[in-house]
Amino acid sequence: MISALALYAVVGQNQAIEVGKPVPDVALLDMSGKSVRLSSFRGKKLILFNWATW
Amino acid sequence: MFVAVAMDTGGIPACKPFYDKAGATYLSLVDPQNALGEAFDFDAIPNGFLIDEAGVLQYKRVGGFEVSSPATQKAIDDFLALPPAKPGEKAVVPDYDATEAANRAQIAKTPDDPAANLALGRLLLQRSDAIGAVPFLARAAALAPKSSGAHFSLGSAYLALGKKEAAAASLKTALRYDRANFVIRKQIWMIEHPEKFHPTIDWSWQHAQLAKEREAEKNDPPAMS
Repeated sequence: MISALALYAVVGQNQAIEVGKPVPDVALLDMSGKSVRLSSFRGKKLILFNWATW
Repeated sequence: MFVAVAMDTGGIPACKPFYDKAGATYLSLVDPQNALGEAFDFDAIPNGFLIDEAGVLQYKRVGGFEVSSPATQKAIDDFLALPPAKPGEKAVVPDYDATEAANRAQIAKTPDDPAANLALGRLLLQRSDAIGAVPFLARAAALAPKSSGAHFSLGSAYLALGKKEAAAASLKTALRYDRANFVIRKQIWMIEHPEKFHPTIDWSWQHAQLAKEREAEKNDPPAMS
């Protein structure tokens, strides 16, 4: 319960994530429409590049 | 592992042609609901995030991240040279069910808590439940009318439901309180001027439109939040 409240506080305030802290487990889509969670990359070094067509 | 994430509300149809043209051999993803933008709280792109084996952020660059720049190359080399982080050693696996329950309990106790409404709405949106998210995000936006983030999330939820007019209205309110945020500004452009983005991007239109909007905004200063 304590951890849930701690997380709630973080999510509620929408703080920017910081170096040294765990990243949120965001769900994204691959090109076939399948959901891919950031947590699925645990155990690998991940280079996340974030762009847009615009 | 290299993963690219396109921040495109147009989803797979909007970004797949770009990935195909680039001959992408890396994992190609899209974030049509700005879930990453909300969770990582960024207002510009391109960005780079280097995340270790335990899911811990080791480096971030928000805006102006160029894969081929010497600074980026050094950051990536240093990152790859780090000893492997032991999974579980530092990682905190967020318990989303517990977070949802905590927020629902908080709202039951204090229905007018803007932070709890916003947190719950965003959580539902991240779980692809845009219909469920809208009432909480609308409540959060009403309770905190100068919160750019609440209006942005509400706009994202409307967009996910195909309600483009409502989405544009919410995003315009969001932009009013966060005018430096190019993710919001460009989402509005994509809704209202899709022909300027597909099949090709009209950069000169964007420059002219930005100049026009900046001029209009000079005479319409946002209220300070």
